[in-house]
Amino acid sequence: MLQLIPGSDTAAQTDTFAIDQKKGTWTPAPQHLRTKSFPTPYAQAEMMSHVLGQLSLDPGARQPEPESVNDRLQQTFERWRLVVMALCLSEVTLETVDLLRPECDNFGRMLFDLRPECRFFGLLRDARRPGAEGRRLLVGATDPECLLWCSPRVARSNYWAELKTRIDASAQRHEALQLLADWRAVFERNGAWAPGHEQSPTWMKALQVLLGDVQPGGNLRSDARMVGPVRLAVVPRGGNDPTEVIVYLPVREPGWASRFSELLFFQPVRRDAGTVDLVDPNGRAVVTLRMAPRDAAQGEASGRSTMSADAASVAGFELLAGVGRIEGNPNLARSHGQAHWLEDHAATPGYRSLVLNPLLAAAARSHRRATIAEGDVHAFPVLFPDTIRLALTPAGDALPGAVRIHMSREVTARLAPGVPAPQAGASLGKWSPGTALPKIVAVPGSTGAVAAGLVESFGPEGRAVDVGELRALGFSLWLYFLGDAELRSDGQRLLWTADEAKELFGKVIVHNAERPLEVLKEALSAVHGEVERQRARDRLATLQRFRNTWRAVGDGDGEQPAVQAARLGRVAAETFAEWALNGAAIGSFGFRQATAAEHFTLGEGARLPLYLDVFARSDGA
Amino acid sequence: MDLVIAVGGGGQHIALAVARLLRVHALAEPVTAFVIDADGESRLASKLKSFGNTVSAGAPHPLDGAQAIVPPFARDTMKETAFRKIFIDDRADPLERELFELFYDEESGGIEGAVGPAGGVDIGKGMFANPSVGSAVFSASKGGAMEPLFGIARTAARIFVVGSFLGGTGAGITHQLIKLVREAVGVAKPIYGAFLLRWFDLPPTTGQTVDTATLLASMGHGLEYFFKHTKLLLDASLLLGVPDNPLPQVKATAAAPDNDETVSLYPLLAAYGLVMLPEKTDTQARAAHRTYGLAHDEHDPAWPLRRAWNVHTTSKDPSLGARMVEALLVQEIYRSLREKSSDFTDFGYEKGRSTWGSLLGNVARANHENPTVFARKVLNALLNRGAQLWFTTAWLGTIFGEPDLSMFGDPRTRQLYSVVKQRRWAPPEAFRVLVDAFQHEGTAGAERTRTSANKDPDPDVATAEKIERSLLAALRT
Repeated sequence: MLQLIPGSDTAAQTDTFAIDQKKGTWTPAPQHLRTKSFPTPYAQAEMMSHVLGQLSLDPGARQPEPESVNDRLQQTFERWRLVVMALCLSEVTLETVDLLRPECDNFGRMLFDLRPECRFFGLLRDARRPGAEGRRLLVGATDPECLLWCSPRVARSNYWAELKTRIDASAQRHEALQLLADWRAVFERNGAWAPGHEQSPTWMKALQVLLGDVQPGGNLRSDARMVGPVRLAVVPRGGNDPTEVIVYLPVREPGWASRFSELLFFQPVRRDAGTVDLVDPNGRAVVTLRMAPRDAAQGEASGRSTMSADAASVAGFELLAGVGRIEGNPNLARSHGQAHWLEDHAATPGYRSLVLNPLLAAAARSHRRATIAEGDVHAFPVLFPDTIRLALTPAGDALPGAVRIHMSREVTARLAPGVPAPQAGASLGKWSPGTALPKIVAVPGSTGAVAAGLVESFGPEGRAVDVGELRALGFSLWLYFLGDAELRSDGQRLLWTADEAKELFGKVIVHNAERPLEVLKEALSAVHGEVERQRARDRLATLQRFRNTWRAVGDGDGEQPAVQAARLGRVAAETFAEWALNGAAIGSFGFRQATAAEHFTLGEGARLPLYLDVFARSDGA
Repeated sequence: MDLVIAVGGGGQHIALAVARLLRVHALAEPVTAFVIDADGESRLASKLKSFGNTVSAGAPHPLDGAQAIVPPFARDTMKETAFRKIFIDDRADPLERELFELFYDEESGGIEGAVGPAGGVDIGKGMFANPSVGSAVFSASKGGAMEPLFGIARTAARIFVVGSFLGGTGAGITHQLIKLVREAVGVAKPIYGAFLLRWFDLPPTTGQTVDTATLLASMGHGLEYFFKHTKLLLDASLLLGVPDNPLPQVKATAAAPDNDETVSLYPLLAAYGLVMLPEKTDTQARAAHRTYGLAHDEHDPAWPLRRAWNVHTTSKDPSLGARMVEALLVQEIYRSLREKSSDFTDFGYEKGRSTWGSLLGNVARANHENPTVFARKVLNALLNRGAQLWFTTAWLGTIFGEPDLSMFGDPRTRQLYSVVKQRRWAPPEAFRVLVDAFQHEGTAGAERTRTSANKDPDPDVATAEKIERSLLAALRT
C-alpha cells in the first residue's frame, strides 16, 4: 500500500500507520529554504536552528552551505560563528530586555504571549557600529535552541563581511576559541554536553563544529567576564528530552577575575531594596550590584497597572531579570580598601550577608532548586553571575585549601595597577613543615571566615610586589631571640626594647574588629633596609641557633591551633633567615632552644611561641 | 459535543467533508464547527456556508457553526492593514521599532516611511504565503475574534483542529491556535489534529507570490515546527498528502479556479481522522500519543468505504459504503415521490391514508392547514433534503468513481440497491418503502440529527425529518 504522505518511499503494511518523526524529504531543498514560511514570528530563530541542524559532526566532513544556492537566506553557520566569536571578543555586546517593558509595547507583548519563557530576551549589538537613535547596531538575538540568530536587515550594509574581517584578523582569535572550549568543558564536566544526541539543541552541535579539537586554555576563571544570562537548551545527563538552563556566556577579558576580586575590599552598603553599593574608604560607590529585578522596580515606581503586575511576577526569573548584575564603572579612581569584606565585620554586614546569600537564594529560584551551595557554584560556575561565581570560586593559582585574608595597611599601600591584590593565604594547618615556604599566610586564631593575612610578596612573576610582612615578623622573633625585644606587659605588642621600645607587631583594631596580628611599621621598615640584614649576617652562629630552634617546631596535628601558631613562627623565622642570608650557605648545627620563653596569644589555643637564645639568656643573667 | 476547528482553505475543505459525512450519518452527531479564514466570501467559503446551496428552512446545515466564517483577526475594523503599522506607529519607541525590524526583513516588515510594496506586507490584500506574518497578526489580535472559540472549546467533549500546512493564513495560525486552545481547555481535554500536506497542484497562472516551491517551503517548515512544538500539544494527529509517486487515484488534482472547492480524496480521509484518532488514542497515556498517516491500497482503493465510521446508527453495517448506499436509495425514493407528487400529497398510494396520510392530516389540522397543502410542504422539504444527500453522494462518487455498493448495508438496502442497479426501480417501490417506514415512525429517531437538535422546527420540516428517519429505519431491516 502506498503511503499518502509526500516524500513517502516505503509501502505501508496497513492502511493506517504512525509517523513518529519528521521525514527528511519534507525538508525543503537548500534553494527553497524560506524563513517566512515558519509559522511563527520567531521564524529567524527557527531558520537558524534548521541551518545549524544540518551540520555534520563527522570530523573533516564538508559542511553544507545552503547560502551558496539561496541568497535570501540570512541565517547561516558562518554568521553564527562570527557572532559567537564577536561576543567572546567584545566586538558584540549582549543586552537583555524584558519584552513586557512599556517600550516594547504590543510587539513585545505579542512575542511574550507566544513564548512566555522567552520574556527576557537577549539582544546582540555591535560594539562599534552605530545603529538607530544613538544605540549600537542591533545585529542579532539569543535563542534557547540555536543560542543566537542574525538580524535579517544588516546584510545590506555589508555588515557581515566587515565583521568577518574584524574577527578573522583578531590577534585574540585563538584565545577566544580556547575560552569557548573552557566554557564547553564546564558542560562536559557536568554531563550536559551531548552534541551528537538526537535531541541535542542545535547550538551545541554548531559549537562542537566550531571548536572541534580546540583545547581549553584554562582561563575561564581568570580572564573571562560572564555576560547574559541566556536560556539555553541542554540534554541533561541520562535524559532524553532537552531542558532549558540559565547560563552566562564568556567574554574574554584578561585579569577580570583579579579586578573583580579587588571589589571585595570595598565595603558593601545597601542603598535601597534593589541595590548594594561597594564603597571605598572615602565613601564613594565603586560599583553597584543589582539585587532585585530592574524592571519590577521600574514598574512599581512608574505605577503601571497591568505591566507592573507582569513585571513584578519574575519569581523564577531573577537572574534573567538582572539580579546579580554589576552596574557602574569598576575602573573608577578610588582609594583601595584594606579590609576584605566577604564576611561580616563585627556588627557590619559584609558581602556574604548583603550580596552573596541573597544572590544564591535568587539563583536557586531561577534554577528551580531548593538551595544552591558553594559546591554547586564550583561545579557549574557558568550558571551563575560573576558576583557569585568569582566570589566563590578560587583563582586558578590559589593554593589548595587557601584561606581568604584581610589585607594589612602595608599591603593596601603597595597595591599596584594591574597586579592582582592578594586574596588568600596558605592555611598553616595544611602547610607541611619542611616544604616550600608560602609567600602569603593566613594568621591562625582569626575569628570569622576571613583571616588576617601576612604577605611576603604578591603578584605574578616579573611584576611581584615585595611587602615583607613575613620576614618582618621573623625579624621581630629574631630580636626576641637576641633578647632585644620583649612582650609588653598586656601581651598585645612586641616591643623593640633595644631601640626605644618601638612596636614590632601586635594586635590591631580595624573597623571595630580586632585582628590577632599585624606586623607594624618599624619591623617592616627594618627588613626593607640593609642594616639589620647585615647585622644578622654578622651573628652567623646565633642565626644558626635561631634557625635550628624554629626548624624544630610546627610538627604535629595541623588542626591544632597551637601547631598552626608554631608554624606561623617557623615560616616567619625561616623567611627572615633566607632574606638575611641572601643565598649564603649556613650550617645546621648549634644549640636549639626547646622551650618558649613566653607566648603571644593570637586567639583561642593559638599561641605564637617566643624563643630566647640560650646565650642571650646567659648574657642577660 | 465534538468541536471541529477548521482553519484556512484546507480546513474548509475538511469541514465540508465533515458536513457531508454528518448528513449521511457517517459521522456521529453532535458536532459543532468553528471555521476560521481571512476570506469568508470565496466560492469555497460560500459552498461551506450554504452546504452547496442546499441549506433552507426545510434542510438545515448538517454542521452546526459552519454557516459562519470567522476571520482570524478583526481585519475589517483595523485602522491599519499594513503589517508594520499594526505594531509600529508614529509614537512607537525606538526599541520596539528595532525589535520589529530584527524579527522581520524589509519584504515582510517594510521600511520606515515607505509606501506600497516597500512598506511590507499589507494583510488587507492577503498573507502572500507568509505564515510568519500571519502568526504574528493572529497572536496580536487573538483576544478579539477568537474569544468565542475558547468558550465553545471549553464545553466540547473532544476537539479536532483541521487545516493544512500550505498557504499563508492556515499555515500561519494553526500552530498558535492549537497552543491557545490547549491553554484555554487545559491538558485533560482531548485535542486531535488532521492536517493536509501538499494535496493539490497550483495552476501555472497563479499569482506571483505563491508557487509550488512556496507551498512546499510552507509545508516543510510548517512540519518542522509541528514536530518540534505543536505535536506535543495534541493527543494524536493525522497528516495527509500526495506521495512522491502517486497512483492515478491519489495524485494531486489541479486546484479549483477562483478559490472554489477542489474535490479530492484527501479531505475525506482527513475527516476520517474524527473517527480514527480517538480510536487509536489512549488519552491517559500521553507519552504514547502519535502522528498517523493513511495509505492507499491499489488493490482495494475503496477501503475507506468499508471501514466502520459511525457505529452509533441502528444499522448493523457501520461502514461508509452502507451510509452512501442508504443515501442513494433515499434520493431515489425522493425522486419517485416528486415524480408521483400528487399521489404523495393526496395520499393516493396503497395504505397511504391509513399511514402517513393519517399522521400528516393530524399535524395539518393541528396547525390549521389543509392536509394536501401541508403534504406538499413536506415533500418540498424532503426534496431539499434530497439535494443535500446528492451534494454528498455526488462528491463521494467523484472520489471513489461510482463504486459498486452491493456489498454494503442491511438486507433491505442491498435488495433495493440491486433493484436500482438492475434499472428495475419504479415509483411504486418508493411508496412501498414509505409505507413500510411508517411502522418505524414511532421509534425512529434514536439517531439525533441537526434538525431534531433545533428547537421547534416548523411542522413540515419536523415531519420531513421524521419521514427520512423512518425511511432509514426501514432500509436498515
